[in-house]
Amino acid sequence: MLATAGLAVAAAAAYGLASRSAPGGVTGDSAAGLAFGIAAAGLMMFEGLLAARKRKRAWRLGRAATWMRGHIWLGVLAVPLVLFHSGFHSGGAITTILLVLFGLVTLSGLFGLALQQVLPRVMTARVEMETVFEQIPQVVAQLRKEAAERAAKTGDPVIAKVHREAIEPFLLSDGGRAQRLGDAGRSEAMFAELKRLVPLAHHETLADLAHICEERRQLALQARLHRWLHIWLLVHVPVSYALLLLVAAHAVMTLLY
Amino acid sequence: MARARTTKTLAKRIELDYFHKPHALRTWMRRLSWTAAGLAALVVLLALRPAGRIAWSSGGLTPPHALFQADCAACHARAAGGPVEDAACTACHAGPPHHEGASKAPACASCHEEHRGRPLLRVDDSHCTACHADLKSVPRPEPAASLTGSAVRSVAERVVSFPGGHPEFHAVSLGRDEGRLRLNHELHLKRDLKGLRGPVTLDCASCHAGDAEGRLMKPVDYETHCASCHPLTFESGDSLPAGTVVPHGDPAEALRRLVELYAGTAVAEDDAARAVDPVAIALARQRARRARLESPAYVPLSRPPGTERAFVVERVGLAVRILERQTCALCHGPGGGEPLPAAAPPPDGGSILPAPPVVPKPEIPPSWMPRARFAHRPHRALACTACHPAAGASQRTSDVLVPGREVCASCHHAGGGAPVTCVFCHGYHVAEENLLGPGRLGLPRHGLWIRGASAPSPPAPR
Repeated sequence: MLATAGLAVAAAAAYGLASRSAPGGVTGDSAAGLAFGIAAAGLMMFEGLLAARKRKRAWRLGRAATWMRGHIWLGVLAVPLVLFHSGFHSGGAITTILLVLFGLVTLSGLFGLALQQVLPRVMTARVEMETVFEQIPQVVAQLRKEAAERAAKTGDPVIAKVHREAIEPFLLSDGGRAQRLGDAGRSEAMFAELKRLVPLAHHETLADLAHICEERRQLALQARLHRWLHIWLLVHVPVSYALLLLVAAHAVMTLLY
Repeated sequence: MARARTTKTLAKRIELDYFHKPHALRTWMRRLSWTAAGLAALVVLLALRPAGRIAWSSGGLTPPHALFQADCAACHARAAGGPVEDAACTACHAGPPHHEGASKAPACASCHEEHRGRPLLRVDDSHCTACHADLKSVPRPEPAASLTGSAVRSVAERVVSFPGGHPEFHAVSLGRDEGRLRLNHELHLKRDLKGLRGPVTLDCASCHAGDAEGRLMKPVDYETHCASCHPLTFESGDSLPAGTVVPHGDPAEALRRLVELYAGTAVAEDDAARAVDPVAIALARQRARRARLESPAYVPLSRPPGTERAFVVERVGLAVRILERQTCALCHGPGGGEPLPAAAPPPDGGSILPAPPVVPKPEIPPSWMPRARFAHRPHRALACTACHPAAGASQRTSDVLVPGREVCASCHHAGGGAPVTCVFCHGYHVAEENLLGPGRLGLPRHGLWIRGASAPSPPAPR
């Protein structure tokens, strides 16, 4: 962070000096503007290498955490470099598109970064029964099977009715709060009421069914948190590919002219 | 039996090959990535077409250049890197250089920045102050004593902005008007002045009228503005009709007129062909005119034959002395009743006639700001005294009545509403010669001029 801040301050100072010495300010084709542009493009290329590093884990090209820190801080550094390169002008059609794409990539990345500072802690605190995200449907299916087996084993008509009308539909749903069992407080109240209606011998089964519902709620929360943690990538990654392609074309065309 | 959540039971719930199976997030990320890359490639391909090349432009072109906006090579060299070459500009626009003493001549494109979507003539002040903030390259002649001097005038060494970083205007900094025509503005602006046809009250517009372009004031003309109250009379007696005057502007012509006037006695024209000196010629012409019974312009005088020459010489001499001491000296003299300077005797010993009066040139500059571009027309909403407050109280010719920097700065300052850039008042391409290229399109300079026709020159000082 300190290095990024230092480099940003140095870049700003260089921009200030270049602006003062260049009548009309820094433009993309001036010496200073080109330097800023080349530096920004280089940083963007490095940013794109993170995806390759993630795919080639076996290569062990530095720690993944180090790569991620570099990706974040150098990405932040690219922002002032791009602005200095453009002279704070949007320019023509291609350069305007580039600025928009760069803005989308940066903002989506910062959004994801912010989420990643908060949501993992929430997940740790509130999803004790976390599982592999991609296996949540399979785990839920197993929970359904387990709940059905336990409810059938008691032979109690009340438990069977509750399972048929509340627990099974809840386990089949997305686990959201629209269902009665989707809310922990209401679920607890329902099972406390059931305890008065069923024999004492079946209270343990009721507790298991309540636990199954709790696990289902946690898995639903895990799915939601996981989607929030990763949905921004659907903007960040594709737009990055477009940005890199257009940056390369922009560099080639400006060198030609 | 209570639920058991052991590591084994939890692990058994997970499929061993789950990471090989497609997942919605990864699937959609892959699809969107290919789509975005494809769209970007499509944009690039569309922009590579001749009609699409404008997309690579770094900004909009100014309207006059829009006709070749899709032809980048019209201005940009195809070599890698490098700015637009001056030859591309001067092929159409032959801009004269700025100053022969300039240490460096910037490229056209360095000041006239295209692709900014604004007029090319809107040049940022930083282009000017790059040199003029600390000017060392301009030759340092002696400061000119007057605005009409043809010598190179001094150039301020440091100009960074207006008005704060701009020196006082040269005319004001001189401290005195070098004009040699005596004029008392306060006297002329009094009410009910004694005119030839009755009381006259003058105002600024009585003598000062703008030129056709609305830029400067037309020179004050004697015949138009002065003659009605200041006739060039010369006769103290009654030998000529009242109001007889000599012409203004050429003392030699005035002398000839005097001779013709006083030779009003009839002299045969055929004598004029044989005559040599101007008195004899005029006398002969007048005699011939009377002989043709033409209405004489002059009151014929009865002079004894043989005395006509002496009469004319005497009267012309008297008239010249009146002109030197009174009539011409009123405006062109040194003041205080002093006459005009005495004329030097001719080298050949002189004719019998006196030399014409020696009238100093008025030395009134055609423009008080020859290096600035000023126009009265945009200021027509203001009263004259708004910028020339001292005119009404000025009694001396030496009073400088042109406004100084602070008067202009009352509106022409940052945030004041009026333009305040260097190029708004000053031109860069000021030299008339040594055009830099073959271009046929001229550059605007105090208006439009087209190469091939001579640029309008300011009138010579009188």
